[in-house]
Amino acid sequence: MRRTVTAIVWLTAIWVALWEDVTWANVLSGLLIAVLITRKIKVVPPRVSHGFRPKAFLVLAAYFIRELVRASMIIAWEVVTPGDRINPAVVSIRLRTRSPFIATTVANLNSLTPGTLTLELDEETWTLFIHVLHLESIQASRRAIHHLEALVMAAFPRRGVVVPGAEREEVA
Amino acid sequence: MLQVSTTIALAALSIAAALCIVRMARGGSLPDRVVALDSLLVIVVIGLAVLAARTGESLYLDIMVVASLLGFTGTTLVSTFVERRGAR
Amino acid sequence: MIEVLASILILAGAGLALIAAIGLQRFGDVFARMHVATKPASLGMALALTGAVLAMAGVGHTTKLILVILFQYLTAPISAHLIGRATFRAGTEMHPDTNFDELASRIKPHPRQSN
Repeated sequence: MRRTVTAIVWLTAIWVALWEDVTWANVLSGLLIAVLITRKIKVVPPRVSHGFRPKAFLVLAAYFIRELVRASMIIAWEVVTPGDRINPAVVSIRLRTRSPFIATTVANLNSLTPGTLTLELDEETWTLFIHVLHLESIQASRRAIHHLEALVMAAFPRRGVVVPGAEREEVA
Repeated sequence: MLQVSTTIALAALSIAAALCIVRMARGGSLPDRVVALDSLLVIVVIGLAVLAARTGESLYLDIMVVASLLGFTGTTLVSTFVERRGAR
Repeated sequence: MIEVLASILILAGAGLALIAAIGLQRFGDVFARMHVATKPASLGMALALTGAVLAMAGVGHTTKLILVILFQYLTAPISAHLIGRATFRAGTEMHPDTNFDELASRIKPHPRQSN
């Protein structure tokens, strides 16, 4: 119930922000649409709850931005210089986390880091499959992902399992 | 200053959009065309932002919000389609 | 001064978009094209939108632009991942790869509709 109320508040805030004008009409129409949306789409609590550490999050954000800029620079260099020296590979990595939220975050952030693109995340065995453009070594790629995973785990420390035993079935 | 730089930026974006359309037409397979379409939509969003900066009209920003939403939805739908039909 | 900074950001954003488009032409492998098309495009968009925020300098407009940037960063990796996964499952021709079989053996083939 609390999550649904939070969702409604956020949705209304975004609606009003998009209209850029705080009037009664905007707020009420936003509330109406937010309520309709949350009736149709259930707000599901995560299976594992997480805390939030601002300092670690800033470290993660700085790493991410640096990697993103580095990725674009590398690609810009490759596009401009002649030659086709790619050495692609599909690498599998065993994740250390058991939380879906952290696994998803790692998979998403990884798509924007230089040279890697997330292909598949296997929830049964907690394995991440990535496509690497320039393969130096499998170990190097795995080390990079583990580093990213460690940063994400530090930024969102695990607090506990919210829905015990619900790892396999859907929470309605 | 802003006029000159936005003109140059819009010219560059037009060339980029033309290249994307070439890739969409030549393709190689369906996923190539999907990637080209996604890039084209991103270019459209950037172009709208540049136009908004150039003219100061806030209408372009609204169009930009809708364009980015539609871009994501379209790409998601087409990839699901590619997964089912197979790339041809 | 703000104008100069905004111009630089906008030009950088457009330049990155151009690089992404050229990369689409240059590379032959479909996955390489995905790499090249999604990453500079996302960064270019963030830069160009930040430049537009600086150029417009209105508080209300800033909110919209920040929302679009956030939305793009949440969804660009997802769409890149979806395209990559769909391409892989559809069995497109790839550059000669190593470690290919690690993934191929684990995928259950998606039920194909008859055409």
